[in-house]
Amino acid sequence: MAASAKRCVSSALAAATAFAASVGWPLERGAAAPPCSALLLDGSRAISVADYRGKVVYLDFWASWCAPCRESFPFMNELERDLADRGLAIVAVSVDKTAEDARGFAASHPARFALALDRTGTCPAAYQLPGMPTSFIIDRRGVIRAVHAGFRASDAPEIRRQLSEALDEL
Amino acid sequence: MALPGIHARAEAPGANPLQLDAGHLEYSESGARMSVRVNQASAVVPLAEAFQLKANGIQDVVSGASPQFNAPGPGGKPQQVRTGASVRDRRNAGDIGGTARLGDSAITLRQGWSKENDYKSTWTSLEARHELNRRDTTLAGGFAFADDGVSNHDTPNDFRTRMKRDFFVGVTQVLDPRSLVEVSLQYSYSSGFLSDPYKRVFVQSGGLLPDARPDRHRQLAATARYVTYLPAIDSALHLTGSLSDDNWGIHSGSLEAQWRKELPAEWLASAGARYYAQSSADFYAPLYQDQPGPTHSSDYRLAGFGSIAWLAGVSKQLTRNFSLQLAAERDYRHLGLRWGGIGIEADDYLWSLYMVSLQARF
Amino acid sequence: MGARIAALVVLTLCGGCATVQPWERGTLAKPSMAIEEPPHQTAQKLRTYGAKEAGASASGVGGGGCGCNN
Repeated sequence: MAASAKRCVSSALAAATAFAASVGWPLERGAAAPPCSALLLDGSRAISVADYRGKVVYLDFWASWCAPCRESFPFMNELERDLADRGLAIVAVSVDKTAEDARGFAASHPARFALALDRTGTCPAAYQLPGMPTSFIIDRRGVIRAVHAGFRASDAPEIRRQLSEALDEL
Repeated sequence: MALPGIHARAEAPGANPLQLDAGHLEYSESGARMSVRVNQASAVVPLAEAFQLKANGIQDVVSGASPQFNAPGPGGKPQQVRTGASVRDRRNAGDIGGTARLGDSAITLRQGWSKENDYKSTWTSLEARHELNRRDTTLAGGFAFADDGVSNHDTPNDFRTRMKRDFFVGVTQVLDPRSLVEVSLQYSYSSGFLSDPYKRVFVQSGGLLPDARPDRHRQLAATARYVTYLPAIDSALHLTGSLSDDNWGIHSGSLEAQWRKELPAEWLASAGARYYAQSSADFYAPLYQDQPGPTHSSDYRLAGFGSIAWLAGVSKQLTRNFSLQLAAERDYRHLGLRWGGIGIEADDYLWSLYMVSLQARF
Repeated sequence: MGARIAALVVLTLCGGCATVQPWERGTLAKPSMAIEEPPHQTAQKLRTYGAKEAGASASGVGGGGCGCNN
């Protein structure tokens, strides 16, 4: 009885710590963008956030099952069209469990930006996603400038303003 | 019977679309009892990012014969005596309300009304919902108040009043990446004229008396629902259990199991079964030998009975904006399946329900 | 005996402490897993039951699903 009670207490403590870590502290502005590698959706090669150092990165986490992502994709197409020549790189990482699911979504929501897949959950865990979808604005030095949890059409002007600010820096 | 307002559910989080729904339902009972035809439409209009306006309208047409009392029949077995066939009643009901969102919370206020020529009702409901733990936990609570007036065909403007108050709390908890559980509790309190003005009780020693129920009704119900994904059959299983008790001596319970599966081309199929059982009210008797006490009823809805129902449905996403649902249900009521109490076999019947509805999302 | 029951309750609660990460909600987001039905469907069915059954059932809470915040 005592042994199982000890196991329970220690598992409760571990659960409480993991719970606090998972709930309490989302990645904030000013933090260094954690490393994240994912496979391009067309399977050609792996990419990593670090590859884009020197550009402003709009890192978006999406999934085939995420309803607001149907609206975020057209928005990201607009950003690509408007800001790519100023040094913006959009990287959209799917957290789907199968490539088939991710490709199915991509087929019905054409993207002019880089699409990648992380089936392991390593990237979203590293970025401590507070919800789905979430996008991060990372400046040319690899520092997180903004975190947008969820996607709403009304966030668009603010996102553009933040990107413009980061793009203006050299 | 639950108030319509208390069962409003906020839609799942996601974009804030314009939503239009229209539905048609046909209900019929065996043995030339009651049948009901229902038309319904509803709309959810986003006014701002954090606010939605909602409206519902329903029209029922009820026809058929309704049991009035039980009388001794051949061999001494009680038989139902019904009102003349083809009683036709039309009910119009509607409600209007709104939902406001603030962060992870939402609050919904609704005002509704219902009118038939012998029944009128107005109700108000307030429901609040809050999400925690990055939406792994949902808390909800609410209450609804209704004020009703009951008359009858003979004296349609002579209304006797009653009121009902409903309170509920509940929680939904995600358990693991493929299952969740929902637990809720509801308490209802009604007072006033709670009897059925069309029903009578038969007294052997002479006469028919009007249906006379206590003027207070308190009811407590608990429901638990478990939803899980079964990878072996690529389907979801929904299990729902309910228990209810009241101060009229009626306790009841139900158990429902439903299987749901996505099929190619955006079809969704579901099928299930439900078992329900109740005991009879303390003051219920099919008929009486001697003069009964101050409260007495022979209403088949207060008798002991059980039922088994089969349900099936399909849903199809027609285009990006439109989807269609079809649902059917067949329910067999049996005295033998009751949870204690008394009743009569003459009250056994079966009913069927067919429903079609169209949804638009923009 | 009482100590065993208490331990069982506590162990069960410990098992329920784990939260599901937002990126792990794909299965819960499936339409077949939705705990909420279109509102009018539930209302219709409950009216049918409520008119015929003396028992009540508590209302739904909703929740689950993709958990997408928007």
